[in-house]
Amino acid sequence: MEFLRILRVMADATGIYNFSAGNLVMICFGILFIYFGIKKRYEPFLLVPLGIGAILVNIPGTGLMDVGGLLHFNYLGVEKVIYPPLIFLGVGAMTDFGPLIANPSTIILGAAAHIGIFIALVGAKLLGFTIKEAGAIGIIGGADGPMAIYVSTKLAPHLLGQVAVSAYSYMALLPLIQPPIMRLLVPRRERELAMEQLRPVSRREKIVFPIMMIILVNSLLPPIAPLISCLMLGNLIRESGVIERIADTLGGVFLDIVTVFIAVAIGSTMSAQNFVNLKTLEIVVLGLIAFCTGTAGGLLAARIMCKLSGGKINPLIGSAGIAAVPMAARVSHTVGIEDNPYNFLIMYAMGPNLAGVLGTAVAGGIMLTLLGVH
Amino acid sequence: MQGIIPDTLSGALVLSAFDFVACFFVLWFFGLIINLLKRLG
Repeated sequence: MEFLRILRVMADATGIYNFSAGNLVMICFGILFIYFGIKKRYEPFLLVPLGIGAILVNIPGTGLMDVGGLLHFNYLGVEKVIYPPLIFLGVGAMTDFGPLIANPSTIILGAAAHIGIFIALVGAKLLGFTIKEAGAIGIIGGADGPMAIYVSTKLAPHLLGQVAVSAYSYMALLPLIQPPIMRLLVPRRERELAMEQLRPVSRREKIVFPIMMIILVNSLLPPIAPLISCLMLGNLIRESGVIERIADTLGGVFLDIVTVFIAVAIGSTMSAQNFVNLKTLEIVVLGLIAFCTGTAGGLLAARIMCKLSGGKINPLIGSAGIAAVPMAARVSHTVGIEDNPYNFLIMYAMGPNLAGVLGTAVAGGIMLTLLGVH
Repeated sequence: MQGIIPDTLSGALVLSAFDFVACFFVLWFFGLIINLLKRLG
């Protein structure tokens, strides 16, 4: 009898005994993320750790996400808004703002492609979310993971997991989401357009740019100072050319490591009790709507610019205004090269793509200010 | 600091419209400033 009781106690303590259907569903999602990362190679550095985080948190009894657990400590980096500025530091160190400096008119596409944020915001309000929750959901459309985490931490921390997972998942799935919209909204003759070569940008311009943006953006929108400051600091380290070792580390190994930490942290929010509910489904659908309408907004604005410039702008670069650096620019290039094998759009698309980062920051900063959050 | 946008559907519409238009203007302004960098070239 005693032996059976011991066996019973042992069985109760195993993960298998405590599994729920929700845990199994979320583990399947985790495996799906890993599959997309490894087999399909959709941003594996994001999806693989994200999937592992999702699997780990759904194995009952490990206590990894309890206070003092390994995943809980890791999650503090997200909750306390430590990782997003560090990611921006690395992104700044690996980003060449030259295409944006060379062709600043494309900066407008970074605003147009953010219409998705506001459509999702209004949609969320219609579904009964509070205005702060709606703002956090809308920012998914900014297609900027660190900014989505930053804004949702300030506006609706309880939705952080859903918002971050939606933002990162759709960013990784951009090669699936954007091309059909691009082919639908841009006629073939416009997709084939070749663009004029960009002017060379001097080192002096590239050094002044981050300093100028730190002063300008932080003065106009103080709530987003941590992110923009780190982005531009990383960029200044890169462009100064005098501390190449640090620039290479920040934009390489450092960024990779922080990305793994942040992706595992986001995955670890995907517990069945947090995620298996109607609100999650609504947020995921609204996020997809934000990405699709943002892509459409950027493309339509680029078509207007194409007409006004007499065909000097290939409208396919408009979809890159959604941010998601550099995935969205890569998608513009890939779709462009299908119709004209000599059309290399990647550098042209980087302009609106980088403008998208600034656009998300500006939209998020204005939203935080108007909603009285600092 | 207290937010000035009410937690209503019309509040969401006002926030969206204002933020979108402001985003356009701020980025356009950044574009103008960035354009000045050419002179440093």
